[in-house]
Amino acid sequence: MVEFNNVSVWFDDNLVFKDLNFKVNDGEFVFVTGPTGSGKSTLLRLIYMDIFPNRGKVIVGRFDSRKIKKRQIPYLRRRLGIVFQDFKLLDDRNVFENVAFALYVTGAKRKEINRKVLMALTEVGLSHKKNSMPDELSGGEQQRVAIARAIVNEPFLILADEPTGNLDPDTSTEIIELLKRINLRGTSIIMATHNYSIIEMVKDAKVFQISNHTLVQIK
Amino acid sequence: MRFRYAFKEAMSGFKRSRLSAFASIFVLFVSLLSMGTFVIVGYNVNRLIKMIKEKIEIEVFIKDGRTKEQIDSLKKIVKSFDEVEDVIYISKEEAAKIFEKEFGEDIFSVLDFNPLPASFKIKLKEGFRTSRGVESVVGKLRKIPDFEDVKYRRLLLRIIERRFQILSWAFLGGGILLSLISILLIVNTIRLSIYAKRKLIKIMQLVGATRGFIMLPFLIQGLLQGLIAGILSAMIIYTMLRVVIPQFPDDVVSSVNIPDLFFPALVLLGLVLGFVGSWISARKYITYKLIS
Ligand SMILES: Nc1ncnc2c1ncn2[C@@H]1O[C@H](COP(=O)(O)OP(=O)(O)O)[C@@H](O)[C@H]1O
Ligand SMILES: [Mg+2]
Repeated sequence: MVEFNNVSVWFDDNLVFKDLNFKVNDGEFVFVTGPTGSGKSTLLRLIYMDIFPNRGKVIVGRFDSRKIKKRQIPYLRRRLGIVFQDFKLLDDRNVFENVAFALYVTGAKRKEINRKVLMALTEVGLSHKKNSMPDELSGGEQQRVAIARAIVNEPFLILADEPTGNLDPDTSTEIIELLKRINLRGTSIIMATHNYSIIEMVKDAKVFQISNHTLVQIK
Repeated sequence: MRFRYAFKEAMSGFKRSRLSAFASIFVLFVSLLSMGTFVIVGYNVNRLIKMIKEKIEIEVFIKDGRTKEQIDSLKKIVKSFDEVEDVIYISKEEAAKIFEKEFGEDIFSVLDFNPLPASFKIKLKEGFRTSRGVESVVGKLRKIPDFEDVKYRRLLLRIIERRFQILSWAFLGGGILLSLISILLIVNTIRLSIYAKRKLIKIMQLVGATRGFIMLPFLIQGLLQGLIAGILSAMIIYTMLRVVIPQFPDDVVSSVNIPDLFFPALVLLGLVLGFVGSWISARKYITYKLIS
């Protein structure tokens, strides 16, 4: 489903990946770990095709980094759910509107939007706060809104770039439990983190460590 | 729904970069105002010149003692010139009558013979009412020995031509320059709006909005700026023509003419400039790469 074939990436004279081969299958929960600056975010960006490999290719679902046309990129992203450390919510819109936004920009019908948004908010346990503004929510709640927005399009893969980086341990645990539940329903998850206590929370996850410009499976 | 969203975003884009939006509308307004004024002035001067040029004729005098047949064939020759629209024959007698009309004196009361020569008045076709056209005809006339003298107003024609050329160049150059400046200012306004909304844009990119969808509000914003400037300048020019011109003497008023579709064209020009500016900016700053 996600496949890296001999991928090399560098920025100017800064080598990030060299001949990386890496595969994620349907329904897997995968951690990517490594120190800051080792290339975790770069790996995820390669998957949502914000950047392209200098060598080799990345295959995500039916999209191939070497064949994809620029204008197809939005359609790849509609099949993904992307979550960041800083939530990326719109402060001038309430919880419902923030989640609805992901459907709205793809031209979905109003009725369909209502139904899907309420389902996603129920899934993350925030349907009672649908009219709250983001600044009225705790960090954990804000991240759950971001996750609701990520799953509202029913993606086959969620990319989470240090989603608990801004959260305290208890809240982090809640977020991981939520992602585990989403994963159990069949959505694959690739999460970047350098926090081992989080990795230990997901028993049957695969864990890859970035070292020497490639990924090494450590679990 | 999609359009309503884009429109709403466009309006809020206005509010967020109010100062620069105001500045670019203002400059676009001034540009359209000057261009509009130029067009009206240019159009009317052009009309005036045409009217003057229509009156530009060549007069050629015929040597005495030519028979009617000779004159007829001369007339045919001149009429066959490419540049010539019409030739009018004025006989010695008619010339005397004209003289009498102008000077109020019967020429035969002073002289016992008619000293005025017969002549042709030659009217040129529209495309040849230039100094070059006139000189070409004059050159041909001078080669015909039956003609004595050729009269035409070369200097006047030259002056009119040069003035008109300068005016057209000034019009064209000024218009292009002002349009470029307005476009640049709109590019900048839209750039600021894009910058103010970079977080929104990034989220749209992440959830898979198409580039066109993301660009749309900014294009609408550019169009709106163009529309406002266009309508304002049209209103001002209309008011000026209505209020200011009647202060002048009647013959000026009646001779000022507005080209057909002038006001719609002015508004359209505003829209086009607004669109081009926002298009350049949106194409440049909104790509498939996540905005930073
Ligand atoms: N756009 C970029 N231009 C230049 N260097 C970059 C860019 N993005 C990332 N890098 C470099 O690539 C390396 C990996 O970065 P990143 O993937 O963000 O690491 P991580 O997410 O593991 O902290 C770092 O050395 C970083 O400086
Ligand atoms: Mg990172």
